[in-house]
Amino acid sequence: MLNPERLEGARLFYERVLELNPRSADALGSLADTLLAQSYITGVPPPGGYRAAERLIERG
Amino acid sequence: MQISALRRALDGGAEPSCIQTVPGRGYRFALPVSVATDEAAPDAASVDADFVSSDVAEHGAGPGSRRALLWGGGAFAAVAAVGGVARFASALWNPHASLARLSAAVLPFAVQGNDPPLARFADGITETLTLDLPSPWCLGYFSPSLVPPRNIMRAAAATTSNPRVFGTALNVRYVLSGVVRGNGSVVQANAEVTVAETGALIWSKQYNDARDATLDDPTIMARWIRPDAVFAMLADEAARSLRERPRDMDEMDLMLQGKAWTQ
Repeated sequence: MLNPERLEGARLFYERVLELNPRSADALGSLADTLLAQSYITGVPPPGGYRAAERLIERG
Repeated sequence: MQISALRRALDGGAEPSCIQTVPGRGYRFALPVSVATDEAAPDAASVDADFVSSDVAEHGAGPGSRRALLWGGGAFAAVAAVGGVARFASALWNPHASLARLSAAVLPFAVQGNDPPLARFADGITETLTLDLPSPWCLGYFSPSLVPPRNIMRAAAATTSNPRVFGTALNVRYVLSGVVRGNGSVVQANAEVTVAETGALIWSKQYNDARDATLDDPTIMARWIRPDAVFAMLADEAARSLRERPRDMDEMDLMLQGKAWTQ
């Protein structure tokens, strides 16, 4: 079951992937998904706003 | 150049080749092979045609392949005699020498009882899962080349219904298998995922649907099974990377961890 803690754990792993490979489309898309899911569950916009998630998807 | 010579000898022009190239890793022998006992296991330099031919006879390989493998065994022994391929030989005859993360195969779903429509339904489930598994929305997302071709899976399934033996023959880490049965007006499918290396069952689940509604379209039940089975494999692989490489995770390990946390 998705919850804020699990999403936060996933976010940290995707960010580590991007440290290894900043161009990883998988990680960029998954990070954007995770940020949006966090926002949906908590009701708080993602860090940097929705535009930040959109930029991740564009980069991916 | 030696690999192409082996392919010519073993394949006899058939496609796809029984020696598959796995990008970045090496080569994989993609025909059913038996697991030799310790007494019978040959070392690289002693692989010979007799060993190869007895292996083929035991598993009933297709027409022509025995002769091809005899030739291949001879060619292989000749190459080994020249030296320089000991490691390749080890990988060729040791199915677990190069197990790849998230490699998986589908063992055809069995049918309980004599029920032709149900048998067609089981075939449909197997076919759908076989096509879906290497797709970009399943394991192909991580490892597009690590699900054996359909014809190779069928050939292996003709030799065994044991998931562990099947997975070992195909050199994959996971085997998705199942049984379909009719129960009055209901069709049941029991699906499971087995770790080929150990025979451990890591996931199983029963799916039910009304016979009238489901028999004509097995893709529906197959696509109930698919995400559950894929997640079981992802979760197991993520747990394995945590166990085996907790401080040295590569990009794929980290992606697996992320996926495991968000399922």
